[in-house]
Amino acid sequence: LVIPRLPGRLWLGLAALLCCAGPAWGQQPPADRAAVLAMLCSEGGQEVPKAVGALLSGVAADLLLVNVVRVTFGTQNLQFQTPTYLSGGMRVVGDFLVTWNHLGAILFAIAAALATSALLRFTDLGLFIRAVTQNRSMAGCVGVSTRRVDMLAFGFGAGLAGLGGLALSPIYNVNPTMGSGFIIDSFMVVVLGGVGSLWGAALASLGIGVVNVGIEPFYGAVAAKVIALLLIILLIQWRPEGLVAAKGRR
Amino acid sequence: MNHLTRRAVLAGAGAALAAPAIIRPGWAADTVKLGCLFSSSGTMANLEGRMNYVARMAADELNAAGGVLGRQVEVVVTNPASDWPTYAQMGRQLLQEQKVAALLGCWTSVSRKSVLPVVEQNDGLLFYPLHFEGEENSKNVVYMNSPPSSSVLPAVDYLMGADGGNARRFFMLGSDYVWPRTINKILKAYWGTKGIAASAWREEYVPFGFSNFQNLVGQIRGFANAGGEQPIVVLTVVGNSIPDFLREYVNQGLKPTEVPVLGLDMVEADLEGLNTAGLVGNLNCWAYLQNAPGPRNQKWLADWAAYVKKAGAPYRPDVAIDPMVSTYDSVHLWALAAKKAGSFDVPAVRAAFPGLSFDDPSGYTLTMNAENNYVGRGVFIGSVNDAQGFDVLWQSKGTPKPIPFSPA
Repeated sequence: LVIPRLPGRLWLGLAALLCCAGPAWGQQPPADRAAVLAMLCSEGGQEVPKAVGALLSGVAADLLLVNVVRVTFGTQNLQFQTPTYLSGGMRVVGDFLVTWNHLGAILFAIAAALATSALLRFTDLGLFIRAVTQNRSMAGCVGVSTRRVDMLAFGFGAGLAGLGGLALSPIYNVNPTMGSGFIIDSFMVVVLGGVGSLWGAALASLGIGVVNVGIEPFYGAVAAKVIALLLIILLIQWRPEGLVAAKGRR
Repeated sequence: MNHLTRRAVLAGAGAALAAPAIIRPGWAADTVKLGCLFSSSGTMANLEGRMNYVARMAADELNAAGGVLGRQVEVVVTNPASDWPTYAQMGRQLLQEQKVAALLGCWTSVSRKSVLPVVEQNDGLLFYPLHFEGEENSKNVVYMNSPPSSSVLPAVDYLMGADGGNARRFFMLGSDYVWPRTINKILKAYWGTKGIAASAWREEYVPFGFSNFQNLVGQIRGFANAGGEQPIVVLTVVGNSIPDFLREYVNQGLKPTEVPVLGLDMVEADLEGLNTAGLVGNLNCWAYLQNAPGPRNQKWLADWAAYVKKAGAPYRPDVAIDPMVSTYDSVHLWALAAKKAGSFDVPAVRAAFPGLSFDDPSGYTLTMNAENNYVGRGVFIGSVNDAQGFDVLWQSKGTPKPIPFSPA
């Protein structure tokens, strides 16, 4: 189990958000609850046992949060007023309809991805995050507060996951469990894309989405899921580090 | 540094020993237990969770009237978390450890199938409150709701008749498990007897918890636009897939006047949070609808609203669904049987079933016969209105006799 190096949480959150690009072509969106997913990697150090511990505590936190919401607000679907410019769609070719809510989610995801990329590239925080990813102890030596960067990156990832939930709400129903279906998908996207790679996650989410929806009309939704999973297993066999390997020292 | 004195240890041990005495009254012999198998987490949570409260409400009614055979009814609640094997495990615990007199529970047929061997091995009694695919007849299950012959087939008949728009083409969309597949198998055989060719229908399945219906709604649009006779969608997806499907249906501009949806598992609670203006005219069929006429229903709805407030239940007080009423009926039917038998023993209670009847909120009188454990219920066909509910479009004259096995 190769779990993120330092800011993996950020990639997870972002991957979750990026997956909502998927729905246009099909499958693969994220969830507000992916905030918790991001948490899976919050404490992910280099050594596996610690990462597994983080994963377990992440799942526990997930259960806790969902159940707190469930008990205090109930499990019913909440009304989400979809803006009029996000309802309906446009016929493109023949019977193919592009719906505005899916298109909106894609644009929203692209904007968030670009903003994240800019943050990583041009801000001090981004510099620190990259430094800590590439060489944690060296970054610490030259005065980067690694724990603080950990926390900021986690918070940022969780925020992205929250945005993912927002992007989803015009498409799906808003309830405490709306994210549960996407946790595994998001996780696969991160592993497949290459942990630590922003564009790997984008590529993987798009790829999984397109494959799923491409297969669906021919073999049905159930088979599509199975075939997509098989393809992912094969890909990981071929490239264990993911489609786009992260820069940095192993 | 030892703060523990001998006296403190003795006091602590004494308190620990005394604790069971404090706990014990809850387990005393003057109560009888009913066990609930309804999930309050996972994909079924929004629907199944309410049943725990309904069971308690019915038990409170019994207790207020002096209990059953002089004992207070206690409802034991579990959470199988929408995980089918867990239903069996929890069911076994309830029967063997808690010694419940009867189980109430399961929504999906796959969870019932998972509990079935458990109740049969332990000779327990499971009250199953959902309408379902039939094709099963266990002496350990009380089928509280209708098999296809008295729910799905009348509804399909209605849609195929002049009032329902002469539907002749069918798009079947279901979750991938035993209920949708069996229902669709029965329907296909039924349409075959009506002289409808296999080219007039399509069948698609999605995994549990599936939410992205863009592709499938697109296919339905294509199916409807292909021309020919009136198409309908027979929807057998369950859980959160239902509202997700309905959203996409509206979003892609499908109209109930053109392609009506017969949502076989669609209940009032699935419409919560949806703008139903674009869904008016879609149909469902159940043995109870919230808008069922009659004072018994009005009283029951008021009781439920009051109970939600009293118990602080995290559900809307103004929404009621068929399985809630069926669960409520289950508790009362069980109590009637136990009273008639003069015992809580399962064989005695079971022997008391034939001839029982209960006037339930739907306005019909539920009856049990000597042939099997199926309960005779009325039939409602409902039509979505713009207030997140269903109007009664058609209802049966009486309660048709339930037929467990489909002839086809």
